[in-house]
Amino acid sequence: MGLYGWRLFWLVAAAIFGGYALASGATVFLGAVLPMVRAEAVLAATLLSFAIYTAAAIWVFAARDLKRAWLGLLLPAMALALAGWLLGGVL
Amino acid sequence: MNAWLIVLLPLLLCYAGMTGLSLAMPRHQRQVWPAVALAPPYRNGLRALGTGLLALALLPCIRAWGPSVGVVLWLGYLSAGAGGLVLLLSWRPRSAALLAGVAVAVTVPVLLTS
Amino acid sequence: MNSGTAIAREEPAGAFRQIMAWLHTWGGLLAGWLLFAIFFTGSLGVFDDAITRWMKPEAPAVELRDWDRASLVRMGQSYLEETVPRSHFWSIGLPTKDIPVIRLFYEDEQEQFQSERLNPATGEPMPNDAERETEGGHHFVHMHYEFHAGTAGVWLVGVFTMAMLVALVSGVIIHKRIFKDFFSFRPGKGQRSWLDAHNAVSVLSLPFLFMIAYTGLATFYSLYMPAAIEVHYPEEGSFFAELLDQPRHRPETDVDAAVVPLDGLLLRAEAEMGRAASFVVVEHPGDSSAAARVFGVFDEAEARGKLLPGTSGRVEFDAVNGELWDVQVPGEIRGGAATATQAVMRTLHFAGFGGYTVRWLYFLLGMAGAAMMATGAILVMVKRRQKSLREFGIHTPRVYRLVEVLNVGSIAGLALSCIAMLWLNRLIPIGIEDRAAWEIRGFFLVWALTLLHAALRPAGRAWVEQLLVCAALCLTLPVLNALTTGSHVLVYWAQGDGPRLGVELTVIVFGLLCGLGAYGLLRRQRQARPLLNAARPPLLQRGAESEARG
Repeated sequence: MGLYGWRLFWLVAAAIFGGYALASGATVFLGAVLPMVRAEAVLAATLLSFAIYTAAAIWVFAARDLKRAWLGLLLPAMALALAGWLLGGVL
Repeated sequence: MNAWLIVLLPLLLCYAGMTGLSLAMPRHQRQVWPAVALAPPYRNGLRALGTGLLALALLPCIRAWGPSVGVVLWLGYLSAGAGGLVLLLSWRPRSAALLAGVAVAVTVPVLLTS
Repeated sequence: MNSGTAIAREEPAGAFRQIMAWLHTWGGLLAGWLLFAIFFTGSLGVFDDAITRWMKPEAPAVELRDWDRASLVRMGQSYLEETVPRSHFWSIGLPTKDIPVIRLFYEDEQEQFQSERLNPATGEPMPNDAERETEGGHHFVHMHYEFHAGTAGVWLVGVFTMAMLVALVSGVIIHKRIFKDFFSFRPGKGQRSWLDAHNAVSVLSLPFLFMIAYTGLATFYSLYMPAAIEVHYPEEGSFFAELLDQPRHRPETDVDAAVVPLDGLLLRAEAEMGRAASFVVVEHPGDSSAAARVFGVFDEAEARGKLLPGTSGRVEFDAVNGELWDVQVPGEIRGGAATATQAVMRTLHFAGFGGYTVRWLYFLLGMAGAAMMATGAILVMVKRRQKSLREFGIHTPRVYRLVEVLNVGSIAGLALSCIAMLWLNRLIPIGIEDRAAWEIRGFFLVWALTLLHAALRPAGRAWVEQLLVCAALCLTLPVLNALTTGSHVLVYWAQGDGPRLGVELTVIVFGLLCGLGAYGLLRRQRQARPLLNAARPPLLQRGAESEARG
């Protein structure tokens, strides 16, 4: 499987936008569950998000499979965001 | 301590320490003394000496700037010392090694007496 | 579903490293063009105060005196009330040693930022020709974090900074022998030397590069990654209010209400803080929701040696009835571990915590970062000049040519426009309308011209010519300075004017380096030419040319 054309385009898009989505979702989740005052937890999660984003982008290229990359990013992103949102109201 | 001394001491120590580490590597040791091949114990000695000098550089940093900023500056000095060495080593390897010797001879007494 | 994993298992062991190499090469190259500018101008921006001082050679139009600060604030307020009675934002800056006038910043009816300077003796706006209007060293700081493009620019820099983190990680993965090659630089060996240089500057400054990229992102965290803040604190401003235990932001009510006299608030705030104020800021003045904040003077000596310096003092009032809301005394630290971490990251990024030693280290390591981008971008082409890799099929020669042009324009061209900025500062007549903006327009114009020049000339010639012009502009800067202001490096030396002397000496050293670079390139091109002349057009089109023929 070579890296060129649309496949490459969508892979790069997965790294940029999918990675951002995952980092955002993880941040929402961590902001709700980190054992600190809420505002502190949100800040800590946000500071961590850039490392998560970097790791996600690298992982996309390691996976190299379009379907796996997109699903592997978007599903956890949505699950984390939803869990974070729900827990944020509860905790 | 004199302002210039405060700035230069850690730089010279880091430079000398990095020189010690580089001379422990056969490739760079041959750059300086092409005809000599150092035995492993000597190489380990150089490595230990280099590491020791790098650690010693932390002392004037913390003394002058306090623990938190001192450590940050020390990290910066490590990079600066290594950068200077890389340039000098590629250009004048023998002078580079000589300078490291001078640096040790100058800084260590100053550090111990101040 | 599992076809991906299956293929991954069948692929050779080096596949992961290969893809990382691809990512590092092309991601690094695309991001590197602007990252070079970000690092270069950021390194210059470390010395923004010194550069500003150099760019304002005349004695200040008014002298700093022990003014009655309350009366200065009154002057500022009456000017703002006349000009923009309703606004989102007023700010009144009190005179400092470097800027001995009243500085006003405000948003006009069109929501555009405006600024004005008042003479503290009269309260009248300073005439255009009273001083050399210039952004000074702040120009480089603005380039560094927003390319003079506001929020869009901050986003652009953020995107490139993320790309840099990815490029750094992938670079570490593909560079197998980090410690073995730690001290290696073998000059004069073509591609090998460029790779050595790229590895050496990257590895040696790696901790700094990670730190500066990450702390840069952390500085604008609420802009770049607002998800958690938006979800958990949907009400505007409520996050910061809770984080820092501050009064909540009040949304605008659209009910008119006058701002109380700010001089009264100033005196109360100074009494609460126990120190002089530097700025008075009013949020939506003219509206019944207006709030006023008074900030204490930043004391560099107090901040030195501290990564967590705390506030310089901050007092907040209801700006309509003058009620005192909140007092942060100088040195006060609010919030918990995360807030402290973010504050330390900011301190680390801004290089103001350890005097000139820290500034010089940041300057050198920042320039090492710029050198990493430059050597990386050049390496991409040096590799492909020897032998085209045909990554882009029949378009390969054209893509390579584009890369060459952008390399020249973004590296040599940017350096050239930075020094051109200092020339423009001395050449643009004092007193013209928008003088400071013309300096910046000139900077961008020169940058565009260098790109055009690179597009029109063979790459090898373009490199040499731009480096030579850059060297000439740097080395003759003292002459220009002498002709236009009567001062130059020797005068500064005699006067013991450290900042101005430092600027000019650094420029001279930089000119010498550019000259050396141009000389080295020229000599190599001369050596290479006899062999190539007959068969091939100018040096740097070789790759493209052989590709076209092949």
